[in-house]
Amino acid sequence: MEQFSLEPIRQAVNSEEFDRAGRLWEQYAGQLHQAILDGSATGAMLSETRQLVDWSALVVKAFRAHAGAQLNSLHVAEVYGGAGSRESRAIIRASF
Amino acid sequence: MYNAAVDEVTGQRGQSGGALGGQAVVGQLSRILSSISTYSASGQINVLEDLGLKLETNGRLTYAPFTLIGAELTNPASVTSFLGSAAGGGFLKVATDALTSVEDSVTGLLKTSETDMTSQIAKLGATIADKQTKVDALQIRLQNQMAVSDALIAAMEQQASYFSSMFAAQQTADQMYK
Repeated sequence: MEQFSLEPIRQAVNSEEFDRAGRLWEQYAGQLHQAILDGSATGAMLSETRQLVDWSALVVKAFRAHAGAQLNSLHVAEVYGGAGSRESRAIIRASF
Repeated sequence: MYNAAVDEVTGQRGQSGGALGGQAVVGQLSRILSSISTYSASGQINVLEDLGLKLETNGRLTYAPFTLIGAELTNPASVTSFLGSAAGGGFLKVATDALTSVEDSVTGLLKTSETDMTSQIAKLGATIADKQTKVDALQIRLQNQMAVSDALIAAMEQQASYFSSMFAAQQTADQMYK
């Protein structure tokens, strides 16, 4: 476990690279599993892992809220923007 | 006819103007109309007002038929000279040339403006399509990221709980065998 830090996972989550975070987490989980089996895991490791999971859940929650708002504004822009441009074209054509 | 054209051009101007508001063609049409109504020549009859066509401050022309009749009676040669002909010269030549510069089916102002606007609309359409493609891509990326982030948290929660239980069980077992 010594050679694997949680920091890269934290950085990947923080930069919203969830795919990469998932791959790093799988590696870490494999090593932690092995450490528990061979008795080298410590309470501190489990505690640090739990902290990472809780923190990541918060980051993902914030990301979802932001992404949801963005998707919503894209939807609204599409509804109003689309109708407006069609109308303008009709006016310009009619004027000739 | 002239006044209708003036009204139409005027209607395009200002904040509550028409679809051509802000377009150069409005000013160009206005100048061409002015060149007709402000035509002047040398001679006893030298402006349209001498023939009863008075240019008002709003750009429209008003017609006083008795003025024209009077001019015709007192000075018919000057009236004819002022009017001229469509091909030869005088007012009619100026008016004909002005209208041709507007209406010519190839080089006329209306035709060239239509061509320009069609081109602008096509470019605008291409820009809108390009932006739409980017918006669609962003939408898909955000949706994918949301799905991936959900899966990540679910996996982390599940595995962290499993490891905690496993670790606690092992601790308990270790204590039992001490």
